Amino acid sequence: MFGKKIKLQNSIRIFLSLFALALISLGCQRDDICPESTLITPLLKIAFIEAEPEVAGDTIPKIPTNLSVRAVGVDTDYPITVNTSEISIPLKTDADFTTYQFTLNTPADSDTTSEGNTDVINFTYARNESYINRACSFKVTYINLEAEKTPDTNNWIKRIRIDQSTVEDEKITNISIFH
Amino acid sequence: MKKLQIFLFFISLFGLLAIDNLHAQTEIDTVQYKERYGLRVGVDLSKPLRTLLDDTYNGVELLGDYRIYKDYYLAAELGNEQMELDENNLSVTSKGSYIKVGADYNAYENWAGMENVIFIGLRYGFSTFSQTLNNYAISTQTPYFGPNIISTPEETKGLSASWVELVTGIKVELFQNLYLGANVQLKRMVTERIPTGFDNLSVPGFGKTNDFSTFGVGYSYNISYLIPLYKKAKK
Repeated sequence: MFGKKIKLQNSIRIFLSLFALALISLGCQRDDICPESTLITPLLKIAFIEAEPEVAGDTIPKIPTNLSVRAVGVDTDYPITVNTSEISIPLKTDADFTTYQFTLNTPADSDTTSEGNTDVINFTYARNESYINRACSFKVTYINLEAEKTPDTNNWIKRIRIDQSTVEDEKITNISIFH
Repeated sequence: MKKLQIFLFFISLFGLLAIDNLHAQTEIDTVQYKERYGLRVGVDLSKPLRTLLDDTYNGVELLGDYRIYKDYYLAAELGNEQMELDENNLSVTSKGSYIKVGADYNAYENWAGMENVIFIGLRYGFSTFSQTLNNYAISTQTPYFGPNIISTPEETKGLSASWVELVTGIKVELFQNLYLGANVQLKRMVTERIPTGFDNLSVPGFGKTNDFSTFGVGYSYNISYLIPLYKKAKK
């Protein structure tokens, strides 16, 4: 290609086509949007299990009736699917603990006389920050997860089992709550 | 997508050259005239202009080439850049100097007495710089706890990068010895020293990096002055 000279017209053509291609590649940056499929800060996955199965040792999912979940310090309930045996809730990314109130048999808003049974669980963990990419920024994953319920006179939660103390991908249930 | 573009880029480049070669005509020069050989030094115009217009950018670049043989030039650029990148969830500032060294080939057949340049060139670029992570937000799936934005700037010094660059552009002699030039650059990262647990989002001389490929692009408008050193008859 260096042997022969090129004519002006062709040179301009080369230059323009390269220029256009450079502009195109400048224009379509797919770095700008964080795709929804990206693993960002994971939620904590909790399963509710029957505490007293007919055959001892069986793991039977048990739906907590009208469960509502609220983090201590936040004014609103965390929205969960009601009446399911598995929920996912967020942990704080700026503190090494998150305390949640789990209320069983939550009364309807119009019902002012009855009260639900509220148990408090304190989740403690260590946080790891890691970089994803420029659109998604950073995420937090959690290790050494521990959960402790606050004893009261009428605990509906019988016991808590840590199944997976590392919270990173939401594939595995982290905690089983027996009730 | 990006890879495909790069592929098309080279295909079109070589394809066009191949076509040109087929149709190139051999001409016999009947008049002998002399061409100037010398050192051309210049300054980039786009970077100072961007410095004026863009508060988050600061940059200068000096450039030069030296004609060694017929249509072959040794070429180099030397520059310093500081730029801020503001993404949706994070902001970084990179700051440092760079040098690019390589060669240009003038592919343009000038008329007698004219010495304009339409060139294709290769460069090896090297940059040392620092990058400051100004602020960032933790990506969460729910706004339940409110945003967690960390705005303590974190500077990482001693970063470096090197890349190869394909350049193509023009240099037109406006007045005696004074050239106005423009070029576009396609770059491919070769080596990179990145901050621990993070990445180089922009590199002085290379420009914005890409998360999903090692390629980058750039452009330059420049003005340069030819210091003629000797003349040689064109054969």
